[in-house]
Amino acid sequence: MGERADIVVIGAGPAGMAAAIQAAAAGLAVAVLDDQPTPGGQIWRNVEGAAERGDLKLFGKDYRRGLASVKRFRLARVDYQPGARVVGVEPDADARDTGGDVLFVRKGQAARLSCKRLIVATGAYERPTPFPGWTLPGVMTLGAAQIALKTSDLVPERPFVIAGQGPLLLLLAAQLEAAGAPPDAVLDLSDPGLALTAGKSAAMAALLAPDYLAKGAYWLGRLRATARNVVQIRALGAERLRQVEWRTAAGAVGRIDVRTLLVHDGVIPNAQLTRAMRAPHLYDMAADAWRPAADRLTGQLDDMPWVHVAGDCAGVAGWAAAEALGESAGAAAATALGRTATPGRWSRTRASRARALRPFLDRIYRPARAFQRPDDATLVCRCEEVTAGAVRAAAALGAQGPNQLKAFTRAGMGPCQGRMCSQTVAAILADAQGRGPGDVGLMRVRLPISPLTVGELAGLNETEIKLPLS
Amino acid sequence: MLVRRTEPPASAAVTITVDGRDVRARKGESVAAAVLAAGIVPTRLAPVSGAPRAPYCLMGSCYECLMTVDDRANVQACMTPVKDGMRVRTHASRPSLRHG
Repeated sequence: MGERADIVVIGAGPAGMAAAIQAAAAGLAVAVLDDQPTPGGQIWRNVEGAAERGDLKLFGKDYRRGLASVKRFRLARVDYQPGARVVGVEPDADARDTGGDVLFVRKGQAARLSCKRLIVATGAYERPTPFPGWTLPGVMTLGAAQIALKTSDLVPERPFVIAGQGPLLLLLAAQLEAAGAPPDAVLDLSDPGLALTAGKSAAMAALLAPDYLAKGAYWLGRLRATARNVVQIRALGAERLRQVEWRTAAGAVGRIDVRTLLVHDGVIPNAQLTRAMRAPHLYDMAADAWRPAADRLTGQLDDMPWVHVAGDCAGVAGWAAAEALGESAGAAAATALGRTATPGRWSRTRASRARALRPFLDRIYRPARAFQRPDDATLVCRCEEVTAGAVRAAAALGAQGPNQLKAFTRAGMGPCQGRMCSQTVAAILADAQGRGPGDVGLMRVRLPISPLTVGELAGLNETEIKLPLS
Repeated sequence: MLVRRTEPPASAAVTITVDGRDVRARKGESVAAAVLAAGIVPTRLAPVSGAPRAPYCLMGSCYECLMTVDDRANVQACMTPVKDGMRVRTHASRPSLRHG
């Protein structure tokens, strides 16, 4: 235990940085805990390093813009703690909404950081994409390839294939092309009516990646030439990936020799922490994802007013909305602590403009059926190696909900704590019971949300916190 | 898997060992990225079937990249920045209680 911070912000992406800057400007003691080594979140991952390397142009305008935000954050009077992994949050025992403790691990030591207000800005992660062979070495997420390019100047080993759906497919293909490593093929798993090959609006693509795509139909044309609309994929190989097999709606089957396969199906809020806090969450049918029940502008949780959520963890809307909502959450938290804070006057406009696009994006980038309704032989839980068939069998035996199903099958009991399977398990269960995913719910997340060693656990209540943290 | 677009200049490079082998890495990158760039797969055997695995999401979600780093077991390699002289052991063989 020890001193109490005014505000703790979890995450140093666009939302977390903006919230921290705003609250610090109001004169409050703000600590930022982020699990990455440098600020920027996933979207602006390693933007300082890429700038130093002279590689900013590879990633486009939205990435370059991050450098200014990161610089602003570096200059703010904020107690920034990189490499800090948050494992849970405990509200004050009196439960009178006076604050709580953030439990985290840094440099191999666990500690509690007490605060009056908490801002959760944990971002989004890629929607899991179960399909046959997805656990083979050589198969990675599209996001992983983007992170490797941003942090390490690494590109996928060729020949390689991108498969799935979502705006990031276009963006990463363009970034890899600019990096001299264009994909050898793109397997588009969108509904046929929404496929790239069917001519998904170039204007739409331009909106999402303006500096690549607004230049004309060049890239989209190229992508169409290498893209094939398919309904199923399979990764083949014994010790590692050797081939990708695809199947079209018409039943045509083909195989491509590959060294690397990158898969993607959009992103979903990373709500692991607020779920572990037992805050109520809502199922957003258009986004096919859960988000915390919170005020849409200040991010204040309906049931825990001392906690705010901001950015993609509150509902995926992209970096511009995240920055605006971070600002507004930071200002709301500062105001609640008796300070005067005025978010940038465009905050609200920027947030609503970015969000206005969302229903349209959600509609044209529907999650791929092949991933969301995997066949019986496909592993859905990578950690405990539970197949979709085993989940269906447990559902047929009468598993009442995701938690009982977890007990029946062990799906969700591995180290990732259901990050990679709980949505799929719930969707399969919902199908089996003829209910909606919003009705079925997700399996429970418990503290610690990432594994602790016994030594860390034992030290949790012993570490004396002094502010600023060292 | 992943290959280097450009080798880091000497000033931006560090050396770690992975299963006893020297691996050059770029300052600031994660252990998982360095291991993938060195072509070292699998890095783990699935605990139930023993099937080969390798780092998958590189952002701390999937826990597929667990390795032993400087004698600490089950570290998320994608969340651990490389440091000069770091000793990394993959989990590509069955665990044993034997020393060494």
